[in-house]
Amino acid sequence: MITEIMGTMRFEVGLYLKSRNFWLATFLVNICAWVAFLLAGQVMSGVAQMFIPVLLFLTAEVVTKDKREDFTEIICALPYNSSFLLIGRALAVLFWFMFLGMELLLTILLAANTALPVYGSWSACWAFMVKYFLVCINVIGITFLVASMTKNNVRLYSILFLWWLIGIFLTGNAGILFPQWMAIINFTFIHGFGGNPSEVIGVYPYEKMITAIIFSQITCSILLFIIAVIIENARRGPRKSMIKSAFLQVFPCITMILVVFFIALQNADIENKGYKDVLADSNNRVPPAAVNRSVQSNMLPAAYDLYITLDPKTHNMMVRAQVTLKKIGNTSSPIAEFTLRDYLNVQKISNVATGEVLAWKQQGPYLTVSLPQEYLAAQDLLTLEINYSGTVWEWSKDLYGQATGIVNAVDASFTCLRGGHAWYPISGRQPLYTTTDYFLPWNKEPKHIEQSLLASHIPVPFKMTVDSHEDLTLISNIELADKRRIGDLQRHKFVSKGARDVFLLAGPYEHAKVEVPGREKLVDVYHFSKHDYNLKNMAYKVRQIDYYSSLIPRINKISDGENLEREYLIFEAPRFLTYDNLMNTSNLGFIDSIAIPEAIFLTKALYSPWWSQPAGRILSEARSLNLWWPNCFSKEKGDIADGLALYMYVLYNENRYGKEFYNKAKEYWLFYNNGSDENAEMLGQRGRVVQEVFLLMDMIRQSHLGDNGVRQFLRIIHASYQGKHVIELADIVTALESMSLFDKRNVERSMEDVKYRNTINTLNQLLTSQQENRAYSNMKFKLTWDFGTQIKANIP
Amino acid sequence: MLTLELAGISKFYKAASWGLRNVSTTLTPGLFTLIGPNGSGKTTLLRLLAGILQLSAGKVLFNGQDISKDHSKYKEKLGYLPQEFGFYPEMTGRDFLYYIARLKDIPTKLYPTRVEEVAQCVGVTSFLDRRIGGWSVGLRQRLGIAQALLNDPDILILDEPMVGLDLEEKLFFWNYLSQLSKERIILLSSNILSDFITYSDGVLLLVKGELGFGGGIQELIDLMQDKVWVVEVPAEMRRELVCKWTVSGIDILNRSCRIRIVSDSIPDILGIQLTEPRLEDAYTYIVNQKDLSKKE
Amino acid sequence: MLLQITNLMKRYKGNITALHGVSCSLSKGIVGIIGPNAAGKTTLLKILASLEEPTVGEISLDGLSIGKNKQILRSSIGYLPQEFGFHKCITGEAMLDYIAVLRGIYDKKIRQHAVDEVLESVHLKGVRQLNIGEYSFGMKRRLGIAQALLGKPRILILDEPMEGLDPGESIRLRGLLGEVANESLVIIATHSLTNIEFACNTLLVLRQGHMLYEGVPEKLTELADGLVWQINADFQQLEQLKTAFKIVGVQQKDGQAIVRVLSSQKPSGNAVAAKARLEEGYLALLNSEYGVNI
Repeated sequence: MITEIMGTMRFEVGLYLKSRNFWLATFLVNICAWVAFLLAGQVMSGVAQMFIPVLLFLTAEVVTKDKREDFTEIICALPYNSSFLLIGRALAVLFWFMFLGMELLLTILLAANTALPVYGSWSACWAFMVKYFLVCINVIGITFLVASMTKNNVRLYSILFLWWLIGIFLTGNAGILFPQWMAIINFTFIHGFGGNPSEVIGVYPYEKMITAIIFSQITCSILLFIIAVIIENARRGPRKSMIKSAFLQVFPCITMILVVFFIALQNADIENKGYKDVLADSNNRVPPAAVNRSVQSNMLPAAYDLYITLDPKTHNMMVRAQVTLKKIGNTSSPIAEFTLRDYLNVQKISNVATGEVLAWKQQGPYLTVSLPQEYLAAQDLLTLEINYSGTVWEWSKDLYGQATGIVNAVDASFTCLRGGHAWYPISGRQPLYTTTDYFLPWNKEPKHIEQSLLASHIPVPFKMTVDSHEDLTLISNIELADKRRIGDLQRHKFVSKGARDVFLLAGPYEHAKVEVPGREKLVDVYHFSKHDYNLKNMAYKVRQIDYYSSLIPRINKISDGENLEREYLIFEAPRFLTYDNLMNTSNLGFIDSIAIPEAIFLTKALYSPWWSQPAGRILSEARSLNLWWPNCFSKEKGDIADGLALYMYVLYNENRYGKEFYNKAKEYWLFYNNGSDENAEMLGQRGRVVQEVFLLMDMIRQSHLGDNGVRQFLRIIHASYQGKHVIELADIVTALESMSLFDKRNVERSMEDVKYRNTINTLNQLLTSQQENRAYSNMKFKLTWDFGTQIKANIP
Repeated sequence: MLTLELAGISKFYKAASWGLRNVSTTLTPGLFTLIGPNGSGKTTLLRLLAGILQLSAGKVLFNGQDISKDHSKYKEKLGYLPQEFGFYPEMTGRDFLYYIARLKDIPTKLYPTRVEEVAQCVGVTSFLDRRIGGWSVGLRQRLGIAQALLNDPDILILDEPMVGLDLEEKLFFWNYLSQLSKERIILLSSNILSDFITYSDGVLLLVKGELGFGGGIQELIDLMQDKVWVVEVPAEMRRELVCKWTVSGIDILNRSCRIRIVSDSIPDILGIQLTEPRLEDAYTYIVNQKDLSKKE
Repeated sequence: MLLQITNLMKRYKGNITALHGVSCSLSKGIVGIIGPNAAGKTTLLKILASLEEPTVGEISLDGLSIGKNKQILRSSIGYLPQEFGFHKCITGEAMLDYIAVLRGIYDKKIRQHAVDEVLESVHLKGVRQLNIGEYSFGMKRRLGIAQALLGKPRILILDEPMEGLDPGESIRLRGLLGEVANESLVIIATHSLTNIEFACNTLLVLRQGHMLYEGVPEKLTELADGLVWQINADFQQLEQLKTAFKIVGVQQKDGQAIVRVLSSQKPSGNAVAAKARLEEGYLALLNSEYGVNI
């Protein structure tokens, strides 16, 4: 048996070495890969999918070789075992393909270490090799199967071509047509773990899933191959008995493989509890429809003091939260309501002043506390101590049901507690999710997509103490006051005079303080080790921020009147933190910080002319605007906030390059028409809403108020936006009115008035139009590089 | 008088590779067979005569005229059947002949008559309206000859026309060609020396691009008088003999074999006897001679 | 060694019957299968080579039925089809080595030896390192025979092995086959009688799937006894004879034609009875008008 397989392998490989076609294809693959990598600026694993047609063609050539040379009759009369021949052949092809992959990688790595603007590292290469390997075995499996079923060459090539097209189709948006469990066995689900793994934390949090995917893919390919072998054997021998004996041999193998596969899957499942949790979540959640608007509490928070214990190994978090509340108005409701994520279970609530244990009820994400009697009578301030704990391991999922990233997680590799995501009690009943309908072009029935909403509070004095056994680097939007070891615990202390929507991150970060010319204070940049060659670019962002601050100063108005200027930090965000397939965490929740995707942080191609992602460059610049408008520059069609952000970006560039820039932008948006070119965009933004907003801002600038008017308008809108997290048309109307630019009572005062009215009407139409606002699937077949730098939310 | 004269024809391929070298002979109406080892230039010669290849040296004179002077006139009188005779399987026989007739510049109004005539000559009339893909090999060869006859040629060049035909069909063709050759010059090539080669009026034996013999079959055989020997030896000795002597035939008997040897003088083998020469003996002898002279 | 074929029938889709109940017994030596085109020769060989399955019928080797068990059949035979090819970028030696592996010769030394042996017997040793793409037609055919000879199969099945070979190569091949036939059964299907006349022990004549004759060549020749006439004719007589009788040979001699005719009765006055040849016996068999049958 071995001799036959080895003999076949040796023979076949010898043929490939001498065949002109193979060398030509090798050359082609190399060229394609080089071009792709240059365009992407790094070694991208998605490129492996590009090779599918070439590999299909090569494998088809291998299996049809005998027929083309008229060799089949000679070989059929020989007493060999066709199983071994096929195995030998498949192994020879695999061997050749892997050689090709290795060669590709080595040359790229060599080149990447030179001046070429291609970033290649071991983890990127590993991801590429895994994907490439999966591509290879899939190609081999399907080709051998189809070749065993049809001996007609034309049919073979046609079917393989069709298979490739179907694959493109399925891995695009149309994949949601199929049931979710299909995703893992879908032959074309090759890019299961999408994109490049993180440099420092690998494919976290999908590590176990990767093994399961790889294993399942191998199993599927082997299954296809086994069927091919059975068919070939049946062809060569007297049909009935051969099928029976082949079946008897093969059946146990298949069963064994399947059993091992499912065991592996179960294990992966256990590890990735998030699956079950995410699915269980939806049962526990209070249906968002029941709570349309946040119900304001009669209490406002006055201060927070959190004592957090993190246990990353078990994903557990224990918190002792001291919330100081202040009554507003004269209402004397006997209860206080809080919003707290439903997997955080309250153990005890007590009144700090008296020590009295209070009655409480937790229903889904909402916590109701019975207030103590005395408080109801007189006092102003009340401090409650809420003890809660829970397993924090919440994931977002895509339409496949596959996890795409973490929402909140406490884990040894990476901990993320997002701001505004109610990981500590927020007063009031605030909705955490909303559902939108996602329409497919051929379906009347939409799919329901969940989108997260921010539950936030006003800026208040905030203290946070975090304890953990492990040595962690913690990042938060409030300043780190102290860090020391107490016994075997590591303690971080964070203090701020006025903070809102606090987030907490822990990862393998290194802290760098970047000096900026002309500025006293250094900027905090948190990056993964060795990713420090782009730090200079961070300095560039700071200059931008200073300019934007002149438009809209960043201050927190604290309840006792003090205006606190807000500092900010820059951190490197791994992919699963910023990339989210279908919107579950489109609100990232990183207040006062700029999350730069890892891919941009480490790319050498930022200023390379080859880089196919000039949008990436723009986005990396525009990220600074996240400090004012979180999640701007991240949607298919921009909303009002995006329009304002774009305007500020244009103003900045005008400041840098001169009036020319502004005029060109204005001209673009004047003549922008959504219908003509769907992909038309300027500086990363597109959509009619953006157009209207831009033109509105320009109108304000042209008015008698001039630049100051622009500033005033921006500040008014931003102030309300900070609290509501959404800009409504009414806010614009109010702002315009307060600036006396517009009177909503139907009094026509001047031409400008008419113009404003028109703009407002158009905006009204656009914002309320079902057509404009539908979430829909766009069946674009363009091959994307899976860059993952932007938050992709396919809703307008 | 119909003559086709080959005067010193040569075809030169690459450096030091002569396809044909200085072939000279004159053909008159009759049936001639071109024989020789593979690679000796048979197809090259036929192609040169069919006007497909250009001469490197020498002249071909048709009725005294150099054919290169007036090529089209020569082609008008020529019919050619190549070795790999291709056709479109979906065409019917009739369509195919019409197609070839057009290629041969036959006046359109003559098509139907000519096609009927040639079809009748070769005997494929009843199949004319069936698609060629369904015809048997023998019928297809007949069609090939039919298309060569469309322009009523004086010269018929056939490259390996007997390949794939069974005995009866071969017999038919030899008879038929023999009849045709009364008023035409027919030159065909063949690799099988027995069968019905005796129908030929003459043979041309090409060896390594040169004409080893040109003349009648009997003439060729008579050359071998007293040069052919036969001996019966045990089977084991066969190899030794084959290596040492020029063997022109082997007959296998039960435990021994009968070996025919061609040699100018009597070979030194026990039991060897002189015997009547056959065509194969002459062939072997001449081919071998040329080989030897080349080696020198 | 005895190969017994019993009532072999092969029917294709559309009710086309290629073989109608062919039976014979074959032992060591050379067996020739002849017949007109579409007689079923190739089909019979393919069945023996395990490429096709008979609709009905049995094949047994030395008493063991091997029709159903194709692997055993394949291990006993060496086959060369009429049309075949090899991969062009490989040397002849590498190709043979591979085929030897597929034949089941696993030991490297034995394989090397086997390859050497067959290369020697077909006189391809000089070009063993050459790519098959550069082989001439004759060399390729010899290589084909070489691969069929690997492992010294008990039955050698060749479909038109001499086609395309020039007379010199033909003679050499005949010698080789004769030698092989001392140990094995060599079955050759051919059009040309000369190619098997030299050593045939058994001759099978097929026509349209039916076996018309099974036996020694001499007996086939004898069938034409009394039917062959030789006439010295001039051209006019030749024409007359052509229209009236079946001409089976014409020889030019001294301006006259020596004509051989196949006829049940004396065709003309000066006709002389001649000794029948194998071709004539075959033709007599095929043409029922001579009233010849077995």
